Amino acid sequence: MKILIVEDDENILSFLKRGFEEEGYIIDSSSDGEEAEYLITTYQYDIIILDWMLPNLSGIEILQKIREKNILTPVIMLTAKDEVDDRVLGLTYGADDYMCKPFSFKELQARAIALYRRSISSTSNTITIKDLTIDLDSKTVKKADEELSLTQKEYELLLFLVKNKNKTVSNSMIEEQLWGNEEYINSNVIQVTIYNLRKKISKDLIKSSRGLGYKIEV
Amino acid sequence: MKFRSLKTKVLFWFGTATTIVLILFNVAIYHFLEENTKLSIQNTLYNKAVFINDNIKANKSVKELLEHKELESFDVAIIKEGKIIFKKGKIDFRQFLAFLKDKKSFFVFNQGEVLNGLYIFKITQPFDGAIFFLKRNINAEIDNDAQKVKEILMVLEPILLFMLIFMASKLIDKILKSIKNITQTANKIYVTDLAQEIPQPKYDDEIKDLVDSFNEMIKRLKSGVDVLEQFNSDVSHELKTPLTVIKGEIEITLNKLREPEYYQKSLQTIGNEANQIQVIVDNLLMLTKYTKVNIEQTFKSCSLDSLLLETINKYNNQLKDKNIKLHLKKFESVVMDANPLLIATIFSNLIDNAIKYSPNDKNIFISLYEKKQIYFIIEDEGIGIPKEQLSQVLNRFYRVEESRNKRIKGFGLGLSIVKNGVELHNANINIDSKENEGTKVEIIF
Repeated sequence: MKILIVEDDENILSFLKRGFEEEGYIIDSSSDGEEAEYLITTYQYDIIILDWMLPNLSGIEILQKIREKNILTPVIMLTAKDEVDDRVLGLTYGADDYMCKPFSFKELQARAIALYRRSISSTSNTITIKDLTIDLDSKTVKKADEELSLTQKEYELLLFLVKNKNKTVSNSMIEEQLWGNEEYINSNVIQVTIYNLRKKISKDLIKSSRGLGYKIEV
Repeated sequence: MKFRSLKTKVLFWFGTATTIVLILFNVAIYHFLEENTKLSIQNTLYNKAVFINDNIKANKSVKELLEHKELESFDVAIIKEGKIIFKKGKIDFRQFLAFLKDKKSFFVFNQGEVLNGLYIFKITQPFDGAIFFLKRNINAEIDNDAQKVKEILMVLEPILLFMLIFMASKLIDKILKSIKNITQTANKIYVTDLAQEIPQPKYDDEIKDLVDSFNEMIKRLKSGVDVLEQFNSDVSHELKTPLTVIKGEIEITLNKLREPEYYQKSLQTIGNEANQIQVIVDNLLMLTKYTKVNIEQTFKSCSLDSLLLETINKYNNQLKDKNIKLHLKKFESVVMDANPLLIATIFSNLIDNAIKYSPNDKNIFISLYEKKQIYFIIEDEGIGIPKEQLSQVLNRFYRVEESRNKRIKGFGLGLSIVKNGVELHNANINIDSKENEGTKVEIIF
């Protein structure tokens, strides 16, 4: 799961990044409104955590702009304002959830997972594809009741494919999704990850079309 | 007398006043009636006297005359040369002969027990003499007339009084209705709900003035509450950011066991944020601790020049770090009664701002001198304040363009503390600034 955190207070940004990264999420971050808008329109994120007060472009303005461009990525607004009117304003402009500072990190994480789950149209915290069961909370994957041991990247790759089921995802899409913008990877890593994942969950589930990419067909 | 309601009060006084007026009116009428009756009796008696005189002149027999039906109910005496030559009725007229000496004709009322109304008419023809008439029971006649009027008034006046009070009550209700509206609205007004407004009455009268000033008051209250609310929300916003960091940092750090360095770094962050909270709280206390009333007790004779030098010394390191040169342009020894803590805070906030908002390698100029008034002037070559925001920089938590100053730590309280301190010392502050050229702050004590 790839999350963009937009927050201009460096200390808040720092603990949010550490917290989410330790939980295995891929994090991109920005502390500037205009930069954040550019990142959102250029890359694909699963969840955006957006501060209200930002230099150059406020959270609300970013929200307005990206919703106008029909980017429907779930957005959680962070703000120190706790007036009902402000919350209503945020939600009206297309925020999916709202957290008032100071917040509990665990709650923010739980809300992020809940939004992600909704975005892949699942009502429970488990996704079932054929004989595979993915538990989003514990991040475990079972194949016919037998738990598979997947690495963090393999798990993220599986989720990405499931989210885009019946669509072909290219190498570059996988690279963008699984590795943050700051990381440089040797493209072989993607092939190795795909190979290992296919080996673990069965080759038929992930179809590969040479030169185009991979997909899960249901 | 105490009245719970304005209506009973007004009605009581109105009723009392009306009753007094009616009583006075009655007395006047009674008096008028009495006079009127007396006059009419006098008139009658005079007519009779003329009648007799005419008849005497015409040589009619006195006896025949006195039996005339016109004189039936009167006691009459005819006097010739001081003697009663003829008399009708029981009254002894002799006692009245003395009246004849100096008066031609006159009317006497209520002489003693017997006499009620005596009319004396002097005649010269056919002989020197007079005619005395007596009319008895005049009082009864007067009383009789008055009684009739009294009876009418006894019935009429209570009805009149009742009608007046009834109309007054209706009128008061009409006036009080608008006042009740005001009371009802006033009861609905809370600090949390100042949206209420009293509906305007139809007519341009005193009630409308009252409603207008009431609505004005609500507006003023609302703007006051708005300022307070804004301040509250600013304070909570400023406090929430460091609190968020502290809470989050603790939560993440406690998630699992970590290296000692991690704890060290984390606790350092938490400590810094706690310090920030302390600075905000101290500043807020500084803003609210002193008022115009209690400030003067804290005044003592201060040497502003040494206070200023002490303050400048605290900023030596920061000046060195940014290679900013601080010049004392005009520096005199100045002594005045002031609160040394507030004055030092004013100096340090202004110097702090000048350093913070100046790029490296610039100059700061400070002057302190006395010329009728005491002048403190600080000029920098910093980033300046945009013209349209000059008026706002003295407001609490106002910071010029968040984005531009993101790297510069601050809460926007410094200048408002300066403004507050300056006002408490009955001084004036002028800020003059050009964007990207510098800012000049002038305080005149």
